[in-house]
This record gives sequence, C-alpha cells and structure tokens, in this order.
Amino acid sequence: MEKILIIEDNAEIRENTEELLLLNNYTVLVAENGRAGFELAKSYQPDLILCDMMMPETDGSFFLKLAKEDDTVRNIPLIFFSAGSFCPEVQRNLIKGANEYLQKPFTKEELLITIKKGLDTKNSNVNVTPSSVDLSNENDNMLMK
Amino acid sequence: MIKEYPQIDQASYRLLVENVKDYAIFMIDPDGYIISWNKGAEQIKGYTESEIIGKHFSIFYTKEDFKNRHHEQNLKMAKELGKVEDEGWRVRKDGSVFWANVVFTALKDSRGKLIGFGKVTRDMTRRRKAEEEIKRLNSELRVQLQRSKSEVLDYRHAIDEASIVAITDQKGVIKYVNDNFCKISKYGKEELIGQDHRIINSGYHSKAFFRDLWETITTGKVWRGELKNKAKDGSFYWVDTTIIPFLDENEQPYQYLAIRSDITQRKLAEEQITRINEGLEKKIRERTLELTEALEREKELSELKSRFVSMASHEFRTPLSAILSSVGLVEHYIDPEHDEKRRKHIERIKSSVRNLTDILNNFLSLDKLEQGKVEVKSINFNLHEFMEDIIEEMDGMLQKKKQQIRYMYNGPPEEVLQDKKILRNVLLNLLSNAVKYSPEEKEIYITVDKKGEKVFISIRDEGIGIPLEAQKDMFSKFFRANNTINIQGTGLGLNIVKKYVELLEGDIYFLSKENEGSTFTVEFPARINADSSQVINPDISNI
Repeated sequence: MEKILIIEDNAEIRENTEELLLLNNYTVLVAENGRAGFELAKSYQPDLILCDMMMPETDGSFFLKLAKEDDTVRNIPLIFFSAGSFCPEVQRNLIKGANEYLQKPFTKEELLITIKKGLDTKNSNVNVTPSSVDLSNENDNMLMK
Repeated sequence: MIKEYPQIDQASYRLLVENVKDYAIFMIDPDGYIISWNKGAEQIKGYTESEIIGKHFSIFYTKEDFKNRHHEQNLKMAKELGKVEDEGWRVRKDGSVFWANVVFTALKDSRGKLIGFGKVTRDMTRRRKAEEEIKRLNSELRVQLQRSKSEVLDYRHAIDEASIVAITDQKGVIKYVNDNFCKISKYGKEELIGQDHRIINSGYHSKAFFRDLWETITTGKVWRGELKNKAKDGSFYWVDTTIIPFLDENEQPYQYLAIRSDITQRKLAEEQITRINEGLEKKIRERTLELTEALEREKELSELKSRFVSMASHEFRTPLSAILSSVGLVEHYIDPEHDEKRRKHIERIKSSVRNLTDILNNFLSLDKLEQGKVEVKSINFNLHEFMEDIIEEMDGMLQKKKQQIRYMYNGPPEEVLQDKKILRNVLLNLLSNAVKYSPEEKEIYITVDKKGEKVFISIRDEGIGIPLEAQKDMFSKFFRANNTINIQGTGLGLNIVKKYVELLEGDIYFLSKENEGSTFTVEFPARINADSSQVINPDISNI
C-alpha cells in the first residue's frame, strides 16, 4: 500500500482528494501548508507527494526548497497542482523541480493516472520530465506568455 | 679809394647793346619807327636788321592788340611817364607769338626833347608757360581737391544719414555725434560732446568684454560686435557696431570712429524667440514627463490587470476543482449505504456553486457600480439586530479558522434608514477580509457607535496589516498589497466597498500597521436622504 502525502490549504479539495485516494487503496497523509507538509514528508517518507502551489504562509516554493535540501525527501516523486498563480516564471521553475504537474480542476482519472506515473518514476529510478503539463488553456494560463 | 673807371666810348656801348642776345634792345623814333636793332631782337623777334629798320614797331603786336591801339597807348604812356612796362603777346616774323616783357623808355636829349624810345623786350614765353602750367596744375589740383572733399563729404553725409556715428578721441571722449546718434540715445549733442563714451553703457556687457574691445582698437585694429546701450531715459537699445581707429604718422590711434546700426528690433525678436523656445522646451519637458508618468501608470495598471486575471482564474478554478472532485466521488457513492457521503458531496457541490456565483456577482457588481446602475433602496430597520444577523452569517468562516468575533453595540437605539443590502455587502466584505488576513485563533472586534446623525461601524483585526507604501492604493481597483501574494483575493473587494459606501452617503477609512493588524471604519448617516434613494416598505421588500 503506497503512502501518499497531500499538501493543500483548501479544505474541500484536500478532503475530496484524500477520500478519493483512500477509495483507491492508498494510505493518505494530509497537511495544510508547505512547512507542515515538509515535516510530514520527512517523518513518514511517503512514496509520493501531491502539493498545491499556492498556499498562505508557506507555499509550494517553500516546500520545494526544503525538499531539495533534504536527502531523504528530495527523491520522493512530487506532483504539483495548481489553479494558476501570479508569476508564470515561479510556476515554471516549480514545475521543473517536480516530476509531474496537474492543473485544477482535474478529473479523478487524470489524478489517478498521474499518480501512477509518478510512482513508476520512483520505481524505475529515472527522473522523467513532466509529460502531463496542460499548457493549452489560453484564458488564464500565463505559462505561455 | 674809388677807382675811377674810364668812361667807355660809344663804340663799346654799341658793342654792348648789339651783342646782347637774350634781350631785344632797340630804338624807335617818336612815331614808332624802328631805327636800331640788336642780336637779341633778331633772336627773339626773328627779323634781321636789314628787314626791320624803318618798319613800325606795331607790327610786333597781335591783331587784337593792334585793333585796340595798345601800341599807341604804350607810346603815349611812355611819353608822359617816361617809362612804361608792359607784358603781352608779341608776334614774330614767322607769325608765331611769344610772351614779351617790354619796357619803353622815353629818350630825351639834353634839351629835353624826345628823340625816341628805347625798347627792351624779353621773351617770357617759357616763364609764362611755366606760370600757366602752374596755374593750370593749381587749378587742376584745386578741382581734384574739391572733388575729393566733395566725395568725402558725400561719404560722410551718407554715413551720417544711414548710420549712427560717433567720433571719440584716443581717450574715449566724444568729439562728434551725428543726428542719428542723438535720436537713438535721446541725448542732445551738447550733452554728449566732451563726455566719456561710457555715458551710454548699459551694464549688460562684462568687464572682460570691454577689455577685449579696447585692446583691439588701441592696437589699431577694427572692432566689430553687438552692443547693448542705455539711452537717456533709461531704456535700452542694441547696435551693430564697427569701431575704426584713425592712425597718425606713428601708427598710433588718435581718434576712433564708431559706425553703428540699430538692431534693437532684431535683438528683441531674438530674445522673444529664445524665450518662446525656452517656453516650448519647458512645455515639451513637462509634456514628456506627463507622458512618461502616464505610461508608467498604464504599465502599472496593465500589470495589476494581469495579476487580477491570473488571480481570478485561481478564484474560479478552486471551487470548480471542489465541484469536479465531489462529482467524481458522487459517481462512486451510488449504493444506499453511501447515502450520507453522497449527500455531503452534493452539499459541497452546491456550496461551491454558491461560492462561484458570489465571485461572479462580485465582478458584475463592480461593473454595475462603475456604470452607475446600482439603485439605492433604503429601508427602516434595527441596526443592532442587523449586526447580529451578519455575525451569524460569518459563523462558518470563523469556525474554519477557529476565530472569534467580539461585538459591542453603542449605536442608535432607534431604527436607521439605509440600504440594508448594500450595507450587508459592505460589512460581509470587510469581515471576510478580517478573517482571511488574520491567522487562526485570532479575534475580530466589531464596534458600532453613534455621533450626532452619523453611525460608525469599525472592524478591527489582528492580522497581517497593510504595509505603509501600499496604504494609499488600498481602494484602487485590482490593487493588492505585496504581503498578500499567497492569499487568494481579486483586489476588487475594497474598491467595491468604497463605491458602495459612497452610495450610502458615507465614508470609509482605515488605520493599519504591518504585522499588527487593521481597523476599518465605515461611517454613514443614520437616516439617508430620502430623496436620493427609494424608501422601501418592509412588507414588500425582498431581501
């Protein structure tokens, strides 16, 4: 049973995602911000981390920085998800630091497939560049600027 | 001892007379007939002795003189006076004339009887020619001189007429000025002559300027330049000036001639052009600054809009995400045993939809407000009860962050007349800000006061506060202070709130310190002007 850590400040999304993963036989840990998430990651060494980019106080960047500096956490497969952010560059950099990226809203199928991909990465020990990046949305996605 | 010379004899006299070659010495009888001749006479007059003896001496006279009986006059005068000297043209044998100086001497014997006349004639032609030449030359010179003088006078006249002229001595004292000078300087001639030329100094030019001028002209060189001078009445004029030194035989200046022309108009025009140019340049600088500032503002606004758009997308995507994930779970919970879970998620979906709708309405109300399409509908209501309702509405939000409200009412006990809907929007907005920007477990203080006809509602939080540099822009559209980067928000809230408060005929302001918290105060009249709003009968109002 693989362990997945969810770092997300929005209660509904956090709870719903937790519920979905539990139904799919994953063990789930949850945190509300980057700092708490890092503490959990370090303590419990999940097999995969799902992390929101935009959270108050300590966000996705904060988490990524701590993660990269820690030998035990840095190699855990990381999936960022986001509802868009202020700085496309920040977003781009974050995505580079992760294994996968999901844009909200995502269907449960998208989530589960992406998680599988992330876990396979860990198993095959190869760092794959994100393949599920959805950059085609014109209206709000600043990545394409 | 006086030596006695022997008297010479007649023969010697004869020799003397006959042989003198430069003078014609001969005798004529009392009637004028030639009775003797000498070599000189032959040379001068051309006749030999044999040709001339016995002829009348009048043949020597010109036709004119003969007609005028000049010869007779001479004889007559000689007879009466004893001697006569005459100068005139005489005719030679070959017909040519010569200028003669003739002396007639009456010869009388011992008894006083006239025996004839002695004539001594000198050829003065050369001398006369020379004299005539001199006269002619003199005459020519006089004419030339006259012409030169005339020309010089013409030049001088021309300059005097056309230009402003002054002559100073080598020390700079004015010796002469023309009328034009007087006209432009407004001094009379007598006020200028004998004065130092500095009388017309305006003080415009530097000492170095004049030093250079003097150095130029005292070394004999012509100076050319533009001078600003002062007239008698204190007014100024500009002149294009040429100063010419007049040099003596030692090449030293003994006087200076200054020829000037009035360029005051041109200078004034130049000054005006310079002023206009400077004015234009200043305007251009100002305009450029304006444009630069406007561009800056445009850029800022554009950036804010971008931020807003990306933030707005986040605002939409979050509830959509909740909806989609809840839908996914509802699909799973089809069995009756999952009834509760299904209902929970359906509720969640509804709540998210409401959330989305609120956000949408926020955007739309801003547009309505900006277009002036919001109607103010006032109603009489109890403010205290109203406040308690609001606090209850906030309960859900407060619980999530474990926050609490401390409420104190010192407002009007009687009913107030205001737009309840708008006031509700305002307060909910301010309160959700207080919740959003405060950490968990913090308290939020609400106080209602009354002063005169005005109601004051203040909401104080102990949250992140507003940085000083952001405070002036807090009510601007799309604006978000830079300490809110990670907190969701569209930047529209306070902009909308301010516009709403104005509709209530009120005002809104705040006090804040970063990391300590903020206090927002809304004030409004307890009874809004009934004319400017619709008063609603509470029975038919639909809130």
